[in-house]
Amino acid sequence: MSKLYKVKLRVNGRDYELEVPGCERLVYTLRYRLGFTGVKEGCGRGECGTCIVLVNNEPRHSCLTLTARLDGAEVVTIEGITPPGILHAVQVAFIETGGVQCGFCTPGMIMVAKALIDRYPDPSVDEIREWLTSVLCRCGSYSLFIMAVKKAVEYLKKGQVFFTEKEVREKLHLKVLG
Amino acid sequence: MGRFMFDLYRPTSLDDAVKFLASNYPDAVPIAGGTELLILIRDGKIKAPKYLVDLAPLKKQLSYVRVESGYVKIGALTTIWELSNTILHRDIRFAGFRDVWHKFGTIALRFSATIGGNIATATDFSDYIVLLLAYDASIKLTGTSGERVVPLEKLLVDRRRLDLKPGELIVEVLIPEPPVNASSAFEKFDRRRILIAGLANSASYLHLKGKKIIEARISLDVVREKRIPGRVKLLEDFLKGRELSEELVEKVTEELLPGIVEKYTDWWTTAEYRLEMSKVAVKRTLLTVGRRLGVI
Amino acid sequence: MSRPEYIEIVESVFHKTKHVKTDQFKYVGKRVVRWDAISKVTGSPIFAADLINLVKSPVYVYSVRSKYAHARIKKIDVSDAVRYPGVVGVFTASDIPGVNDIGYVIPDQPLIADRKVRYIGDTIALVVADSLENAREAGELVSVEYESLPVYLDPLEIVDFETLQEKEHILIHDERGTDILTRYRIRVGDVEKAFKEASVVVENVYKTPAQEHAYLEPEAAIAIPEPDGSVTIYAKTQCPFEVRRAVSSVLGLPYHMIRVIAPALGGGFGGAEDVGNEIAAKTALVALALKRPAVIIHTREESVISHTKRHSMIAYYKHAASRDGSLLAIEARIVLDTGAYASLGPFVAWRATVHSTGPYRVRNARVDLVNVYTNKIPAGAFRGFGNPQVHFAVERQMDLLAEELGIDPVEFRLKNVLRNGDYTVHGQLLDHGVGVEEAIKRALELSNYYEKKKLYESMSGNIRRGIGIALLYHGNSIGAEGADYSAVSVIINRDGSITFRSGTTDMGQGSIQSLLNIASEILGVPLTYFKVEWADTASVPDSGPTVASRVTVMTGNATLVATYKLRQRLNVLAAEMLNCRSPGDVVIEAPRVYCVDKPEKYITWRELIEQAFWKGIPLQEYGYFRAPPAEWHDETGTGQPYFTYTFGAIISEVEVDLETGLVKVIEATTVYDIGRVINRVGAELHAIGGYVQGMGYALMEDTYYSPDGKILNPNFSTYHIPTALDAPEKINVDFVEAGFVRGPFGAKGLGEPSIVGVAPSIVNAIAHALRHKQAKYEVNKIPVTPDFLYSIIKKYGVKK
Repeated sequence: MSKLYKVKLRVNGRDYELEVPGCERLVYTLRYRLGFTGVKEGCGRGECGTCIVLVNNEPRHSCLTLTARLDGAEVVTIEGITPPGILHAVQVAFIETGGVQCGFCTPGMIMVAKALIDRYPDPSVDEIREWLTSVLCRCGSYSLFIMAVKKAVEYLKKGQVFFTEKEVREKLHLKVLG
Repeated sequence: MGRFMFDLYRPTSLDDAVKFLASNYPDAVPIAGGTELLILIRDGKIKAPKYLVDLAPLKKQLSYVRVESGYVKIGALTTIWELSNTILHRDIRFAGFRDVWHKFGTIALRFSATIGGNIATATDFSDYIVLLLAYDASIKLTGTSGERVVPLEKLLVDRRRLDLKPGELIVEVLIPEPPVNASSAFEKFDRRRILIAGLANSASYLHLKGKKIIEARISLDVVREKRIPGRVKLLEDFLKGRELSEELVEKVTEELLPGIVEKYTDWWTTAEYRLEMSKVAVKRTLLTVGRRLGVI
Repeated sequence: MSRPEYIEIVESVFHKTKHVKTDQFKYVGKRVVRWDAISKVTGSPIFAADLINLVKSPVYVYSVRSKYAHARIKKIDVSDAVRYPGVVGVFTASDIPGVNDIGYVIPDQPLIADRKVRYIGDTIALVVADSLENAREAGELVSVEYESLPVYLDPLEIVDFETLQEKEHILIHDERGTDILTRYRIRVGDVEKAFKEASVVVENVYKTPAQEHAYLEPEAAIAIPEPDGSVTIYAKTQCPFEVRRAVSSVLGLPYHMIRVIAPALGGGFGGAEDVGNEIAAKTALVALALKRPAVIIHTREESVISHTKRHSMIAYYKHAASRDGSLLAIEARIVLDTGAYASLGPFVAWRATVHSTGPYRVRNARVDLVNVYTNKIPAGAFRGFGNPQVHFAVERQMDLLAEELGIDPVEFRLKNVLRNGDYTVHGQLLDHGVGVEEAIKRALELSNYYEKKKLYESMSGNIRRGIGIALLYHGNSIGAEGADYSAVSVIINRDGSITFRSGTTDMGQGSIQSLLNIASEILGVPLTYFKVEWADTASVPDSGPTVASRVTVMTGNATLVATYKLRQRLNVLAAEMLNCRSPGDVVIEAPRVYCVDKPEKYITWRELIEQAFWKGIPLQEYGYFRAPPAEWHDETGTGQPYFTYTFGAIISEVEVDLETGLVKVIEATTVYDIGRVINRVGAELHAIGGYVQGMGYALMEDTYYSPDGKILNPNFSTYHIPTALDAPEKINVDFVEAGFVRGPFGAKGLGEPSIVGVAPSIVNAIAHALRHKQAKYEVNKIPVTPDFLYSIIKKYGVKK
């Protein structure tokens, strides 16, 4: 029976006080303890990127992060990059450029894209490509995701960061695009 | 798959960490980024230790890049990401650091992985070791019997084996500050562009006066026998004093490397091909440095 | 005998719309935001493992797997595992109530091994515990006594390559008496005579690897025992009805006591067929036995070991042509490696044979194909299903032949490619719907082929460029594999919203969007009126499997039929309500419904539906479509194997580094004849994504084994799939629409065709870059890894 460690975490804007074994990985805590199944586990070895979340605003592979080490940390998953009922420009751009296929890599891609444009508001295509290597996409949508990031950058430049889910549904859900 | 079970110890100071590691040796192992250690435990390649000593409380103390007393000093807990915001990515004398950075894991991993951790993994694909060897780096260790500084070359005993005393922690990397007109380059390539082990990873460091090679330091991921990075001293000695040119580099890698370097065959590829690629990697790093110094 | 109504409907819609340009449709062929895009970008819980949180205190099932690749089981001792803390049960073969078999096509594969193990991955026992860790640790305590047998990893140890006769060896499937799984052949014309008369003969041996699907989602299943003794299973599966069949057999329960629901899949590509049956059967077995929800979640390594791979191939090909560039004859001997179990091997072997001569007019052909067992991870379905393998060989042969003839490789293909009115090698008349010539022309145009070719040939130095073309054809749906049918259920609710169900699944390919586009177009309602439910065997008739590039055509037709019938009924009612001259005059542009000559006088869709409700006009419809049976004569390899074929032309441009052998794809052009574009975004993504996956197959992907049969690269760092940095920066995509009379609005499939021609086009480009005639023969194996290419470059002194 391993020892339990008290951890205070702020996840997606809410504070949690948890007691976890030292060996519990953040991906497990987020998916099964806290119910944030938007975080995926594709490989468990930090190679595929589907588990990437933001820890203190830095992209991390949650499958290689031990929860017990994160006392006082702020964690953001795909479910929390915006308040409920709101979508981020990156998410809207991903919808509009149409690259989403199976959707399994998508949360990881969006977290990485957000981490990128939070740091570099106007990245070059090469920079975007390098950042997006953090997540593997077997459906092969890389070029469309690069376009999506470029589109998100345009939104941000115009000051359009957040969109209500209602307006996104109205404008985009099952809609014929240009 | 291995048993993924252990307890954590949060040290209150560097001293505390060292004491705990020493007194619990070998049941306590330090964890920095965890990007290598946790995979080894998960895969069952090493048995889960009883304790992982969390080095995060020491982060502030051991994360820095400073130039002082003729050395560039890098704190062991500096993450690969943090390296990119320092002199190591801005000054041409350290150009090879940018090369390594762009091939290291993927960007997300660079936020967690640390330079100390990369050294501690001690394998042929610990890319910073390959580069640091070309910088004649030394490593400062802290243990229960105090501090000591060891040349990186001597610290590397074998694959995944460093000459560390029980409880000793890597705390700092020291690089003698390179003179002006020195630069470096690093090459790593494989079947695809990233997330690779590398067919033959190489780093070269040159200090030139005009075209004349004042000093050359060349390292490879594997030189011979042991699967750890090493320097190719014979090649360096041959180059010293000569004038850098494409012909020289071509000749020297073609003719001298095969006698010095011996690679291995495994299911990925053959020793012959790795040797050929070692020639190419060394050649390319030398020529890249030459270009960076405006001489080629 | 009169034709079924559903065929009449599909053909009549085709004929009514065959001259309508695609851009005139409202939804068909348009770029539409897919129905699940918002769920996917917000990380909603839509994958199997995400649903675990909805189940209270499940038990976790861990599969103890064989450590030997070939051995007899003498004894299994589970006593230590049973006693391990947290363990609630251990299951072995004797605990299976029904039939201990999950063979997909033939019953050759036990769910839980009892007598022998045939690859490192065979399940020996299921350990069930309150946590995955406890189950796994207890699993280590299961001890098995084996009598090891010789391990066969090379299919040429099983069969002789010259004669294709079985060799003496210790049988892997002794219960079958042979390790030859299947044989197929084509015997058409007089190959010997043709070879004698030929001006040019080209022969070579080709090899393709056992590609791993490497989809990002590892498999998971949850089985919930229901109060009435039935079981509900959520599983990562492409084929919920196949899962139901398998579970029924294993549990000895009738179909209606087994409900299988497929949530969203994080990629499938054919890999989530067998394994879906396996994990569903295991969890259902445990759930019903212990009366608790049972869960399986695979690690990446378990995923790689438990799901099938692409059949690797070794093939000898001999082509003959006359001086004027006519293809005279093709001879081929093809060996496929099906691994430890048959899986879909018999069907892969058949499809490979059918397509073994490429999209050309071939009058004389002798093809022999054999599919054999080895002790490797079983090979089964993978996008292309035998076709990428043979097309690699055929398209390389075409280039080599063109070179021997001194004819441009494009001209040579144009001279021999199939056109409307031609017969395939099997003697099937293609009287319409052959758009490959147009695809070629479009591809040449888009890629600027001739200019680039000339430019690349003039380049010198260590970095060389090459450009290559490959053609393909791919029979749609399952052909002669079995009864080919599909079904959907469309329910117009009283408030006008529509519930749409199909038993076909989404693994990312997005073909459900095609179904919605068709439905919207026929009914005249916006796509937003539809809600798509998950594939659920309890709520829709058997829709057939989601495989073989069949959903757009087969399920699309079923959708078309269902909505067509609904529309007819609504037209009659609306004509009455609006006083139109005839039901045919009714225009539905929901929310408005009006007569074509009186648009100002309209009723609303809701009013129409409400009235239908009151008048007793059924607002629900099951759509069903059954393809006419295929025809195949085993002795000659002739008949009508597939009802239609998708065609394509792929052009790849590569950069070869002569110093290292590294290849980079710099640009690609893909043009596919898919009859009619229904889901434009989906089609483009197939072309692009299929290219990236095909590029991996061509350049970097292979599964490696230790001598004792252990897979050496079950991880993403050791099995290389293309990353964002590897994908070519520019992929040009276009479509040709040579409509198929029995496709919805003329549509054909693209799921698999989109990978078939990629690898040969890349290797043709590499060969072009080498510019050395002899060296080109040796680029006969994929993946063209840098060391392999380097050895060829060095051998022939291909230099600056």
